[in-house]
Amino acid sequence: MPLGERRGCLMTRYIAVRVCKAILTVLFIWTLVFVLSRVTGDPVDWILSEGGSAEAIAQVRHNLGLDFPLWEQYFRAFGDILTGNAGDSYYYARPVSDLFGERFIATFTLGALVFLVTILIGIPLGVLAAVKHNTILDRLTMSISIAGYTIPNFVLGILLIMVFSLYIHVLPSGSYGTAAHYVLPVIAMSVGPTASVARLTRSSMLDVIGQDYLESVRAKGVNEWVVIYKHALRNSMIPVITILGAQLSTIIGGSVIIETVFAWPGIGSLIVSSARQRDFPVVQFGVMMICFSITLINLLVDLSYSILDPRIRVKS
Amino acid sequence: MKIPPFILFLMISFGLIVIASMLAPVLFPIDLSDTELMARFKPPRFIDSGSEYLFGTDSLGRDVGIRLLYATRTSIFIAFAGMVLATIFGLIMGVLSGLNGGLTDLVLTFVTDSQLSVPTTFIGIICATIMGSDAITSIIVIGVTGWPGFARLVRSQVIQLKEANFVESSRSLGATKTRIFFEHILTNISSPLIVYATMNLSSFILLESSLSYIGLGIQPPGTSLGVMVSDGRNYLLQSWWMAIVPSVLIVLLILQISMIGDWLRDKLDPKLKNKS
Amino acid sequence: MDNNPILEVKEARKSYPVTKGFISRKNIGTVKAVDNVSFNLYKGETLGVIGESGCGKSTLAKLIMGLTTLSGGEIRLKGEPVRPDMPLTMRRNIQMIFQDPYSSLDPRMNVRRIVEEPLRIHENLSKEEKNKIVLPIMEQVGLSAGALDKFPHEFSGGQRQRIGIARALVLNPEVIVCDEPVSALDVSIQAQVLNLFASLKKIRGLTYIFISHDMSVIKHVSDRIMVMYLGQVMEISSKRSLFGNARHPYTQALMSAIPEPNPAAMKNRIILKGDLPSPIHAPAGCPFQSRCPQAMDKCRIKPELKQVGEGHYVACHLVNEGVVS
Repeated sequence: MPLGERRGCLMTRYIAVRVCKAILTVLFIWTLVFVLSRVTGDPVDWILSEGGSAEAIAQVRHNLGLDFPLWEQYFRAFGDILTGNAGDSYYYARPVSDLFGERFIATFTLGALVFLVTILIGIPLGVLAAVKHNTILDRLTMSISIAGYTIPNFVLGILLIMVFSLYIHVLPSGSYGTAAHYVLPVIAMSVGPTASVARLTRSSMLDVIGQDYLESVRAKGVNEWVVIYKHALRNSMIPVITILGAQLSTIIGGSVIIETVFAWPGIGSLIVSSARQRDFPVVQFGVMMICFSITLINLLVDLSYSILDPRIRVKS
Repeated sequence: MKIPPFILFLMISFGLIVIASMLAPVLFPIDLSDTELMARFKPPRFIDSGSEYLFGTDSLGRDVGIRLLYATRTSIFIAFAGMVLATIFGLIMGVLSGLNGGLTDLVLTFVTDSQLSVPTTFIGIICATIMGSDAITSIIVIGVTGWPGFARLVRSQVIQLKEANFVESSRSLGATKTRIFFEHILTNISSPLIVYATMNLSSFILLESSLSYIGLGIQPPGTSLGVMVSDGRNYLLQSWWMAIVPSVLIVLLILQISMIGDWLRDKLDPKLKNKS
Repeated sequence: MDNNPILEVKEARKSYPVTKGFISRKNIGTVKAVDNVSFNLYKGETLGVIGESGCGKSTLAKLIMGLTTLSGGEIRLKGEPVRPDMPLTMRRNIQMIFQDPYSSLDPRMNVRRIVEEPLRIHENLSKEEKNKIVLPIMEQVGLSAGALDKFPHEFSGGQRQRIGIARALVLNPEVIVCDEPVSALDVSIQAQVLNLFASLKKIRGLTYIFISHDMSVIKHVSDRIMVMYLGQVMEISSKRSLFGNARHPYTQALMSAIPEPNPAAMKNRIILKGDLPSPIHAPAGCPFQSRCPQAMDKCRIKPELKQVGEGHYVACHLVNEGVVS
């Protein structure tokens, strides 16, 4: 087989394996959610905690699809979630999909901004710290990054509200609407991920900068900044990209808390308040949606990673 | 083992916080649901030196200092119990997959990978919806989110150890699998396991306080650090200490534990450095 | 020497399948780590086993220790078959000393626990009874009783190997399998440890199988020598007969590698070309043909072990041709 064809074949196989794994992951999480919700007792008991009439119970059973045999419930409910037809919320008495639809934009814009900030600030900060290794700049960056992982995001959010909205009144403390509303939540949410991206970029750059092949590039008389940007940066980005998927998971996880802190009308605060009301259809749909999106993004990251690093393609 | 003074200071201060919070019911036997509406929003002593409350009072007139001890006690207890749960479960799963290899190993790797695609807070949310929000749920959530890391660590250690020459040597003496496990494998796993557990305790404290902050952990009148911050959220302007004092304590605990953990790692198990 | 061998190895084989792929385990061949090896070991002798690394010496040791199952043939210790599930009463008669004194001692155990471990497995003794056994042995291997409370990392390589030896001796075994016991040590320490082996043999009447890749070490310790190449026996003989009259070209090459005090003798040194072939692609016929300076067409047929003198066997076609003298 010619090399190009062989590589193409390996690539197809790699993609197929990754896609299968992603599908299995989603199915596994769904199985876990399903089993957990059935094993811990009859869902009707904790949905109608005050007890209800026989009619009400039958209605709830029907809504939840509990009148089908277990295996059928498993597939039906999964199909319903896939098609977005996830039943009605108990608390809001409205279709779950409508609730998510209304709030999607708020959460998506917030998350996307945070992700952008993480990349656009985290990576350059890490590069700068590595290039200026052992200078005040490096120390400062690293101290900030320690603060980034020791200060919980809700604590940071509260501090920001206190300083910027309550004492100097420059930014709104909560809710949603104008660009100004985004500033504090984005800062509170992005400090943690930015700090870890900066740390990883720094250590990855330091690894690459010390390597022999860069010495040979320098020996040719190439300008130091060209060495760093053309040669070192590209090679040190590979481990950084692998953790971007994990950072995304952190960001989505953090959005739940930050949306609560800033009363942000997004999916995160909806899921939290529904969990407090034990509004199961909403929570179930929310968790599965999050799981879908993270799995999908991880899949895309893996695939783009394999395009970026030819070693991966050949290895698997 | 020589302990640098700074680490010793961290250890002693952390120890004091733990002891004081554990002794809270003895030192200040109060009923957490008691309120004293006459004493609402009394400032802490560092604002008003004449105040009789060290850390002020909250919106229901309760002493923030005393509640802080109770809250720390709950938070540390939940994080610690969750850590024990995660360690035991991770140890069992890691040993099983490390020793058996093959299918068990494949399944474990898949399960840990899958679990990483659900953010920890979402695991907390689904558990709270299904089981209700309380201390037991928080402990279970920490156990569920924490075990894959422990399992991975134990698995890689066991795979290394079972091929070790000293294990081979015991096998050649006719030692049974059980004996090899308890005499050689378990003793050699224990120090990386302790290091990893310490390093993770801070993230468990963070998870517990996050869950109770969003109202899916400890429920009032019970209290934990996250609950106190959440209570103070609405009074930031008039009595900011309600939220800030417990916040500072959370940051302090996380900082202390992670620095002690880093030091322990460098001391006991430098191999871990590259893994985390 | 008594006529009943203490250990009999008859046509012992061990092969490992080589697989490719993760889910669909395709079998792409087998590695014959030990291929049709036979020999007898008699009480009180030292059998040296020599060969390059990867020639199956360590697998042979594992088979003899019952650490892995045979793929064919049999091994008998005092008439009883050696198997991974053999009874403890058999195991105590044969002990092993490992190559690497750094990794063969559990770093979490103190020396007392390491040395007493065989007793814990095999006997149920009180502290005093254990001391009665352990203390004299510590003295014999040249360690002080104070060493018992220290940990392995506090010792040098040679001392650790002494701890390993003490551990192998506490059950008072008849046979000790030494798998490259000195190759991880400094040359100056090697001699001390080799002398310790010799003196223990005298005091305790031990029987050794001594595995090494170093012909000068083998020459120093052995009564009889077995030469292995790619899992097969090339030549087996008494030391006197082998050094007087090595018949196999491989043995000759190994012997020419021993440093000579007289520089003039270095001239006819035989240097083998190339590396040991991969055991997966072992050549059919004589395994040594790819590197043999005297290879011929006939070498594509596997040579049998033939007797060329008293207790001296060689697997080489040159013996028949009468070319080798």
